[in-house]
Amino acid sequence: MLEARGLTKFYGSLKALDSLDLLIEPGQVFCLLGANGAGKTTTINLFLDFIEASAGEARVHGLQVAEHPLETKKHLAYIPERVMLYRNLTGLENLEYFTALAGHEEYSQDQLRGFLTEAGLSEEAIDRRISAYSKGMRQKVGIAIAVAKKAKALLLDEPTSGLDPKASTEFSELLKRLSGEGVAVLMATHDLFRAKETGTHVGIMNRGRLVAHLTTEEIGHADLERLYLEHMRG
Amino acid sequence: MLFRVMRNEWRGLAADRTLWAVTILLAAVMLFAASNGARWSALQQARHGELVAEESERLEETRAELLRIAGGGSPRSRFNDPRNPAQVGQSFAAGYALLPLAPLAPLSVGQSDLLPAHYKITLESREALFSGDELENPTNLLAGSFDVAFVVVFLYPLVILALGYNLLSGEKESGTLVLTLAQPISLSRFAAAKILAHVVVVLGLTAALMLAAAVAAGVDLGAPGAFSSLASYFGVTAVYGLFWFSLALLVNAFGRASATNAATLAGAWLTLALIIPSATALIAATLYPVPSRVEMIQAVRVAGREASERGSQLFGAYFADHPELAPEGEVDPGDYYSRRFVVEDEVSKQIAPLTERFEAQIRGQQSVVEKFRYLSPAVLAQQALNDLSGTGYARFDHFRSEVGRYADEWKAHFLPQVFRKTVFTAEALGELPRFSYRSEGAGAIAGRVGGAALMILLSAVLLLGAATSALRRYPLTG
Repeated sequence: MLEARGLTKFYGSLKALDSLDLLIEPGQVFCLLGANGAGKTTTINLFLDFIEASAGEARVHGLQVAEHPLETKKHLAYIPERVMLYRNLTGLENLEYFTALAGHEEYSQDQLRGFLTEAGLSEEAIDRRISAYSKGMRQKVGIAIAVAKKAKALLLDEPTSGLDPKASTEFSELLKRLSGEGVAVLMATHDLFRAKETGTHVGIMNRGRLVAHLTTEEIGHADLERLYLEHMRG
Repeated sequence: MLFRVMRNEWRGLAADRTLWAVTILLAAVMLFAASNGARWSALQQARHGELVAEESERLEETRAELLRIAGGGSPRSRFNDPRNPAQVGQSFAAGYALLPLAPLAPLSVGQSDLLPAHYKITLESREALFSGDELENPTNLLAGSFDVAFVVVFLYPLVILALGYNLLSGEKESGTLVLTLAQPISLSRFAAAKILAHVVVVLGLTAALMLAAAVAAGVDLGAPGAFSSLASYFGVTAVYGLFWFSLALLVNAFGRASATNAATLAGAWLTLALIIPSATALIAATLYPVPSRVEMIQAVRVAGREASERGSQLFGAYFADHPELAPEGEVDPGDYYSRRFVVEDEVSKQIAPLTERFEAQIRGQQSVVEKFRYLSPAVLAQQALNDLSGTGYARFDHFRSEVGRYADEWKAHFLPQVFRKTVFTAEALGELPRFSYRSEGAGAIAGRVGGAALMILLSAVLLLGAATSALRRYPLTG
């Protein structure tokens, strides 16, 4: 579903991503670990066609992203680290707008409200303007937007940073449910515990290179932490 | 999808205080400008009315005086005798040539506060008739009165820029741009929908305010051609607006910060609306300096003295030049009036090279203005709006040539009578040539306005093309 082949990105002489090869099948949750600047966000931006690859290719649903930027985005949902919405609109209005842009005009108001409550937003917050929302609440609207899009692949850039533990747990359950429905997930995160809990696969990145790639079944939490630190030192 | 984005943009604009502030401000300045224009038009209209009344009253008095003298009365003095055709042509029956106000005159004061809209036609030489005229000064042309055209040319672009300077940079900075572009919509379509939403709002608002201003200024929309002129007036405004929208889009397409965009656009406004027009005036004056007026006056005096000294010798040459004016039999070279017109003619001939140099320099300046105006859509728009209001330089120039033609006709009517010493009668008063303005024709105006609008549109299209290509390299991250 999500595939990278020799994907490389230079910023000037800096190699932000070094020939990444990656394949995420439907139902898999791939957690990308690594320090800041390791190339996690660069990878996600390449899948979204926000930046141009210097070499290699990113594919979504078999389509090359650079050649079919709009077609591939139909299959992608994206939750950035900080979900930023239109401050003058309510949560519901934001959801309605972004969902319509995604091509889903068919939802009723009730269905849209359903997506928001499902994402953990309280009833009374739904009709309030975003300017009154906390970061966590905006993140939940972002989740609702992603879910309502019914995308085949989900790109998450540290989506749980700033969420309280309860919301974070709810989010993990949501991911499990989506992967159960056959959605492929690529999640950049610093949270080793969450990666072990929700991920089916884990990759460790360092200075633009994918240095380790394993399934979570193969490894315990303590081992993951040890492995991570080893690679960070190396 | 396009409409979705537009609707969202409208919601954003409606929730933003800037739009409301701008609307109120624009409405206020538009109505203020309309009342200014209305006052100026009413003043001109009243002046024309006074002149017409004064002229007909004077003609009536002259007729009565002629009848009184014919009935055996004697004239009040030798220099106040309506039987003398020279005196009739010079003062008793001297007629006014009036340039009628066009229907949209209250919307653009234009050149009407610099150039005369009426002349008193006497037997004076052309130099005396037009000596008050000056050339089109682009600074005056632009920073003229606070009329509707001023609002359109200067303030309306600022409204467009105030609403659009952060068209994309605002979304990039607030973070909504990435979430939007994660949806299947391209940046160029998104930007197009947003700018289109602005175009609809600003042009809709402007159309409504312009109509209100026209009504408030007392424009008679039922007058022939008034409504179509107003429609064209708005058309020019719309095209001029497109230029500024395109510029705002182009500046945004480079992906700089909102503050940078605001500064860049303010600089562009300053350059296009103020600096280029002023620089044009300066360049025109430097390249084609007009000979000093003092030199001109001096030359007229010297030529006048010389011509007066030669006096009677001039008659032969004069009638050789103007055989149609030659009376039968001898001209009395001692006659004051005959002598005066012959001397005046000689003076005109003597100073002709100087007059020609003067006019050539002014034509040179005009040609500079003509060329440089393409550098500034503000100048083009101002000229087109003036043209539509009947206050443009071209209409005054045309009026001047009509007046010149009429003045010649007037002279040709009176001079033979002067030389023949005909006795002027009350009947002859009814046969005088009268001035009626023949307009330059709708085609000429449409050509100039259309040409200017097309040039502005062309520059808008070029900017849009540049914006489209810049959007392809838009730096979404970082």
